[in-house]
Amino acid sequence: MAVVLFNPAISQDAASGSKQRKFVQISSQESSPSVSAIAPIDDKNVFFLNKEGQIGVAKFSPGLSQIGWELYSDVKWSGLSELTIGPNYSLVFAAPGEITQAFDTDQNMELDFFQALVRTWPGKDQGSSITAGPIADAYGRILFAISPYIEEEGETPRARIVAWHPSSKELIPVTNSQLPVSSFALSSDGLLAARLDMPDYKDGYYLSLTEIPSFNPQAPVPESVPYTRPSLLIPAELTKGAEPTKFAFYHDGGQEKLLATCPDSRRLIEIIPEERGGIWQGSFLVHSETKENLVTLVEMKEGSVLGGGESGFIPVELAPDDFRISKIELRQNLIVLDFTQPVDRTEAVKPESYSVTAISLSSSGDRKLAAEPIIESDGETVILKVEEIPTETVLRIVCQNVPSDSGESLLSPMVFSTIHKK
Amino acid sequence: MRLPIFPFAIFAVMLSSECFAQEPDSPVPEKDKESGSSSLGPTLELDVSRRPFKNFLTDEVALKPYLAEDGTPEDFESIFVVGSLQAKVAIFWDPVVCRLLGVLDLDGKKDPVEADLPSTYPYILQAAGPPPLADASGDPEYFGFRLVDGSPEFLYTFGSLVVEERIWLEDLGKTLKQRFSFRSPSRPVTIKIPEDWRNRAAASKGTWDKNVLSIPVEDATEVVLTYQLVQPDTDSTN
Repeated sequence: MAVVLFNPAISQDAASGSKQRKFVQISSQESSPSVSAIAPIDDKNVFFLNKEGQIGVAKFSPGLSQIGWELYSDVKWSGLSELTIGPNYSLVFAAPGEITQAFDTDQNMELDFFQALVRTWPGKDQGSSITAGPIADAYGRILFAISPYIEEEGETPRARIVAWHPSSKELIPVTNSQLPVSSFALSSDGLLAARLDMPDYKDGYYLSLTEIPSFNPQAPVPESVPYTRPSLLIPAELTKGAEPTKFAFYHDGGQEKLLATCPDSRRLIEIIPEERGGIWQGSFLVHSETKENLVTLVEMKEGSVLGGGESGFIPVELAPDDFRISKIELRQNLIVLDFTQPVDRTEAVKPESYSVTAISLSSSGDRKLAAEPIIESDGETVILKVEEIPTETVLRIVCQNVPSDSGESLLSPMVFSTIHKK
Repeated sequence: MRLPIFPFAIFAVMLSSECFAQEPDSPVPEKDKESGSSSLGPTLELDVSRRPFKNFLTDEVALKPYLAEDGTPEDFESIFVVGSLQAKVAIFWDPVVCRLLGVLDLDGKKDPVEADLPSTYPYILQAAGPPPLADASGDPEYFGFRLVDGSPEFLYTFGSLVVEERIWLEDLGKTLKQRFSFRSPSRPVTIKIPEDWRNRAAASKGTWDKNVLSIPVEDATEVVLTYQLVQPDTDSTN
């Protein structure tokens, strides 16, 4: 870890203890920057990384229309597509070999001091490198993932998410994982969603949900470190075979959900996490298909998600006329599906309009479950009565012939649910 | 960095720093007295980037830190590449070994023999031998860099030496400047440059013995090396 020998020439304001940053002024611009990562400052302002690896600032209206943007640094960094806000109004970003912290020391609206915050970590001598992050958590830690390495001889290589914190001379272990972490996100209450990389597995993409223990700066290194296990499977069928690359927690209908972007298919996948007896499971459905590739997502304020890509900032909105499955709920032997428009009752009432398959996670083999549909009075909810839903299962539900009342096809007829416990 | 044409919107970044207690704890280094321009003309506006790059070194000693277990050289993981729209050269500096690795002629069309260029051409300068400060016992440890009038200044320690090393271009890219500042060294500092560089190099302070520049303690706060990247002066003097 870096030792402070050099002073980033703190300005008089900063040195006098002022904790409020100088104003940053942004001129109105109609052009859009390319965006590869976003770090929200508040609900209308963000820092961002562009595709050249330069850092910028941008301002938005309450409806997330771009008002203006400005480069905050001309220096181009080739590194990971993540940016987070760190100590003393700094910005923190990563390359495979370094976590870098950048400051605007003279407060002239330009980053001018770039400190190598972290250059060494366990396993670096074995070739372990930074694979994801950095992301700041609520405790002020800067979390990042490092690729698998062997801690003790004979041990299986393990990847880790670790944290830097000013109170600790050593990096703080946060989670262990047998699979490399290619991307991760943190919820407001400390739930970690980590995308686990298994390149040879083509049928889906593993996601892990892990509750991170609280952090005590007086005893920064925890007694035990949770394992990040592949607890949820995002089926490739749902993403059109495109890898979900970035995740963002967001609030919707009083619930904290996850949104994943799959730039290669322009699909956004909605993940509804659910905790049962200490184990995380969840459901997956297609949230929307975007016109542009989104490579990054962030929640700006409750329920308001901003995306970014080659063509700039794009607010994530549901198309009001999309006919889609908006919710899935499982109850004993019932599958409750909500639709955004009333369904065509003639078709939706037929059992053959649905296909329900239980794909076992613990043994090979799929099992078809016969479904008996019941349509609620508003026509927007269909209840499928099935036989007992097994656990340790990925449930695949396809509404193969359920048009809307006005004849529209579903955005995606599929929804999935990973079930460990009931 | 563009300044705003007119302020359309103003926002204050009011971030809670309660969780973050990192404060630099050493005094501010003395502000550089060199303005960044000289008789060679104004300093060029530099483009600074940091990126992976193919390893171009050929010298056995300079390559040593980059050798894989099987003895083959690995590419540079993340080095600084400094250039300018007004100059046709790229400068490479590596934070792993904390040294200037070379200068590339982006035209690269000259005949090395006719133009009296080094065998490493299109690399006009290419690192060879041990790092320039290798006489200071210990290993280099990179701390970071800052921009001083648009020029990158690398901050690192090399053994007991606390070093600030700034690079910039002048004279439309025909001249490379490398400014070293050593904080309170306990003994004279020596900077050893590759032998091939010597006929292009001049120093603002110190005395040369072949390709080794010795700098007395009292002069160590600022030493500027000047490299002629075009038409080397074979009679370079101090």
